[in-house]
Amino acid sequence: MPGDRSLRIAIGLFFVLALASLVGPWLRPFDAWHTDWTQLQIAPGITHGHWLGSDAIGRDVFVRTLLAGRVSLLLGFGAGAIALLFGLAYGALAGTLGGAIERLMMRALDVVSALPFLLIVVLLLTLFGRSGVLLVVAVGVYACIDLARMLRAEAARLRVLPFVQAARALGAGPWWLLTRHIVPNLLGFAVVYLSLAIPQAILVESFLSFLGLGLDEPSVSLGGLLAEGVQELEDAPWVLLAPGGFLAALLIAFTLLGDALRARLQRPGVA
Amino acid sequence: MSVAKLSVRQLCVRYRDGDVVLRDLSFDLAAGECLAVLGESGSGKSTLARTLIGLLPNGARTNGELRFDGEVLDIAAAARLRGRGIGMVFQDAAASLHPLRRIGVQLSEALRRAQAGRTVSDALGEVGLDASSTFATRYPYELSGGQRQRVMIALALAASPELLIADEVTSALDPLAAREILDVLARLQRDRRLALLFISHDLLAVRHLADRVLLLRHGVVDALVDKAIFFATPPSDYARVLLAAAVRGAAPLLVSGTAVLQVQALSADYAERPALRDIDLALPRGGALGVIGASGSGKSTLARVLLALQSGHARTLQIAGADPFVLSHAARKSWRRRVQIVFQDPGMALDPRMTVAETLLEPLRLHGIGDATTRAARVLELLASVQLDATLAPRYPQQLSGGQKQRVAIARALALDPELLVCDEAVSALDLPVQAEILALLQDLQRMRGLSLVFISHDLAAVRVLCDRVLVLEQGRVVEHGATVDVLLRPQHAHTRALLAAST
Repeated sequence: MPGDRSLRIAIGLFFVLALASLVGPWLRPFDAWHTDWTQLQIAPGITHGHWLGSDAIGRDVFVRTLLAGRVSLLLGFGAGAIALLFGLAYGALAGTLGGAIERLMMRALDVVSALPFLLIVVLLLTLFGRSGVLLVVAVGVYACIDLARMLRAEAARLRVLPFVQAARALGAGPWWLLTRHIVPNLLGFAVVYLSLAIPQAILVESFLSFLGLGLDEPSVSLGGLLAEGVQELEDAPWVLLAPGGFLAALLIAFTLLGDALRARLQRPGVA
Repeated sequence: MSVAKLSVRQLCVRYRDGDVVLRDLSFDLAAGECLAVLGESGSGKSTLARTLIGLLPNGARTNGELRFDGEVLDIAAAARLRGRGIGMVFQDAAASLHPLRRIGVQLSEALRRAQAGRTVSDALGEVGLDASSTFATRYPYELSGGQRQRVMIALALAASPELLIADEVTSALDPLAAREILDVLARLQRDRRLALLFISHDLLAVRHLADRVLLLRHGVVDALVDKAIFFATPPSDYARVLLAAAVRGAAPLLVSGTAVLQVQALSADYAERPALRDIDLALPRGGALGVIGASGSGKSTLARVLLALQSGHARTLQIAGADPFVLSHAARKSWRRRVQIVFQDPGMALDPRMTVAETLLEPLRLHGIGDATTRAARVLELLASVQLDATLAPRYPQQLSGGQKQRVAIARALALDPELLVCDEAVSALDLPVQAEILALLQDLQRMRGLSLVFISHDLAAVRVLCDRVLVLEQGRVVEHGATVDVLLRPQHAHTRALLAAST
């Protein structure tokens, strides 16, 4: 099956990136925050030990990029988990119940999604300080709105299918339908959407960090590194290219994964 | 016979996964002739159609020789001829029309591309549709299934093809609409001297339209004979099985006794429109009530109300000894044990994420019946009662055939020992021999368990064999009811007569 091959490639690429960001920083003797005044803006190379060069104050780009990747992945999965939990609960509940409750829940969602998300996040970050937890929750809630809306539509489609109607005729109540029939049949759909929501979360975090609204120093994130890299673009382009390349590879891996999973889900016989 | 318009010699088609779908298929089709390709699902009928128009899936291989008008018909030629020399109409007209464009626009585009020099109203008139300009401004969703199918035929004819392939064009339609489509095809074939390849599993349609019959089974030609010979002296064992499945026994005698179903002046809505108006019906215990009517007559709404899956208003409503709409929550749950349903579409009747055993355990778990051992025994018992092998228990629905799925759906409905079983088009989606098996199963269950049946169908032959009484619905009203023998032999209402005429 061609779907299986692209799925294997996507999973392979993803694991290489995850493994690199997990163990990569320990491969080099450098600390991410160690400044070496004798080694400013060294070009990438093997002999001097800075595989991807060093930045304007002599910090190792290789270690900093992979550490930032670790942060981005953690944030992406954290936000993804929040989105899955709340989005699935909200969407499946609205879709299963139907009627006035469903309409009310969806209009409430419309109101929330009409709010300017970025503005609110920026406000919260300035009010409560730039914390990772706040960022994860904010991005997770943002992703969960779309997920809830899609899962609601899918649950409403499932609700009128004969197998759900047959379960109702057997005497099943809403809770039984939700847990035994609707949610199990929504999970595949949710996972596919999640593989698209996680890179979106990573991108939003990078964007905020790029603007200087992300994680505070001394934490490193890909967006923060990109912002630093832009400053040194003329003298030391590798400071920009390394985190930029890693971010691009990460996003491509997730997109491939999402496409492959979707193709697999749409194969005949799997509803 | 004149020179063949289409000639097929030793055609073999093999899909990429190695399945041989067609083997050594040879036939000729002359202009003005209709060849019916008959066979159950999976017999290779649709693969034949796809081969002729060059639309086989990637990786499929063909062997043998195809000639159209004496010219070799390879993939390139098929692509060139598709929509020009060869027209095609599919089963699902709703999916084949662009949903967001008016039918007149779609037709005029096809006519312009073909440079046919005919107008949209000519094309609509030819297939028996309203040729006025207001009709052409409608969208596909504003048309009935039969009208959509006619638009599809008009589209296929836009470029004046000499060969028309019709793939199960009547299968999704009710008998009245189906008969009209058959009449249109017969007239077109005569007027245009079309070579018509009519693919179907509907014996009635084949009998109505075909000159010759090609019977396919597992991709091999089982018989290729004149229609008269096919129906008079079936040329093979398989043909005999098919014909025997179609000709079923006489109607059962009228059952009498205490009422399991007593309904007076029932009205209900569907999608915020009235679907049922002032329906009266009654059914004694052990009886079987056939509900017939065209699509949109309110049959399925009736099923949903009888199961209390949607609300309805009635003067009197006694279903299996109670009015479900006045029962308390707990009482209604235990009432549900007495009334069960089997739906039409076996593909969606079972949860794709549950095994057969889990599906059959669900009703027992819901009502807290038995413990793990007695439940497991009950599952085996249920499988046996619908004549399924116990080895199917760990399978998922995707691994079952349509007939097997429908048997599992029936077993699930029987798990709570209901008094009343509502079958909503429960056999319509199945192949003919499988239909006959399921009907025989329902008959057995009715006899052995004293089950009462409400059998909703547009298949009059099935109603005739199973039901002792019949109710005819038209646009939400009862137009006729009575003993099956009376209604089907001496119909009083014009609508009943039309339904009967369309299915003989």
